[in-house]
Amino acid sequence: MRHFFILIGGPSRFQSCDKQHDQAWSNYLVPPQLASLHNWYNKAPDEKIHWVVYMNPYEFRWADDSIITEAEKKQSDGAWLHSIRKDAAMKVQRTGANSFLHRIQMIAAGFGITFKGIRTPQDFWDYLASFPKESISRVWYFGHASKDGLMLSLTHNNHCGVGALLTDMILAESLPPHSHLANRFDPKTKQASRFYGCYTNGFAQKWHQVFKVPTEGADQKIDFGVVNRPSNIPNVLERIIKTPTSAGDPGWTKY
Amino acid sequence: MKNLICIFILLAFSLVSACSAENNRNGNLEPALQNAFRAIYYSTYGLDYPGDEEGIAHCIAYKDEECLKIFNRVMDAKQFIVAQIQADPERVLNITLDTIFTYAEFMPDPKAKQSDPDEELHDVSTDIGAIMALYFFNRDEQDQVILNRMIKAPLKILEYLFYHPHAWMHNRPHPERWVTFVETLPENSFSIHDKKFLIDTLRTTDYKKFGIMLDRPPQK
Repeated sequence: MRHFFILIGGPSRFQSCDKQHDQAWSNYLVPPQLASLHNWYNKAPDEKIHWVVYMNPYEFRWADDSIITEAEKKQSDGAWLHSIRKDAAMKVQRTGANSFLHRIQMIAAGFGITFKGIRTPQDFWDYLASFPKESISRVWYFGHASKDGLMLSLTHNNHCGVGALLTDMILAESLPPHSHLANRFDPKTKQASRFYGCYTNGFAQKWHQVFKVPTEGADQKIDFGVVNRPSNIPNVLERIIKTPTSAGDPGWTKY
Repeated sequence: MKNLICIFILLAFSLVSACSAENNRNGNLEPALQNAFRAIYYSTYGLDYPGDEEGIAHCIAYKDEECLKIFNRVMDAKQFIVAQIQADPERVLNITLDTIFTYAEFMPDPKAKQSDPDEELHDVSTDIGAIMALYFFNRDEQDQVILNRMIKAPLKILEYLFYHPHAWMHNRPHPERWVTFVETLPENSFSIHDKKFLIDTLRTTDYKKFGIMLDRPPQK
């Protein structure tokens, strides 16, 4: 038995000043969900899939989106986005879930995927460390990222500047101190660890150097919004890495 | 006589104005610097901040608004900090160190569940931004002042100081004095792997420019 970990980052809280990011709560859930539905990740018979979900942002987002006040309709940018959030929360409730996290757990259970909720980046490393030697086939990531690392959650400052708390990041520079976990990875694996996030190229390269496994990442921006747009590329994982953004070609790179 | 009185009144007014301007400048320096610290925090933790020189070139070539916006904000803040250091290095270093120590009290425990991230951001970005600003203090006497404060610092401050090896570690005039300090850090907080990595980082001189090391005029 080998283990395939899919680390799922979370959305920011909704901010009316930011039209670019996380208007939908499920941006980083839908691609792995569709991948499970269609086996787009070519799961090997001996692979067990784990969704490792960063829970905090989903809890904050649910707290905001599930209780929609009348006052929110009076936002300066109008009510249209308000209705999107409200509809998304109601859609989740119609499935019988009582929160975004509960919905994720239900989807994971439906696919026979192990759900593992984490609260800190250290929880992620501790989870990997809890598995036997040579048992990890690959690690995938869906979420925000920068050239410095994976941003498991996003936040906004008073100027609507977008960034992450340092405690919400897995930094590329933090990989070498975890090099002792290299023996957890299957040294013969041919399946790449993939990092679906903007500018993950450097992180993928460092992961490859530290853990001695094949990796892939984006040199430039990628856009998860392409999942909901018409395309002649039916596989959304392929669509994400091939569709140019306003900043050019994603430059998907393999190591 | 009338003229003399007028001159006297004008002189007195100028003196009072100059004094209040000076007071105002001193009074405003700390919050202004802390604003700048919050801005340079985004040189590492900003979503679209370009990671290297090629990244900036790409931003400019594609007129990437998000990237240029955050880059310009960081560069404006960097220019402000550097100008203040040139004017009064000792005072600015003291404000920077005091900020690191003061705001560390409000920093979240990186191993515990966080409270509201939007509320934490103000304190985190002020503290970490001030740590990042240590990069600008690379003269021997400044380095010694920083080290002396850190030797007596509570563990929580040291954990954040070394949490992410920021650019400041690559810009020490005498890395070996920091290596000696790192070797004494408590092993229950800094593992052998952590210490080795920190020491390697302090001794590394061959690196690509990143974060606040990047330097171009704001692209406006």
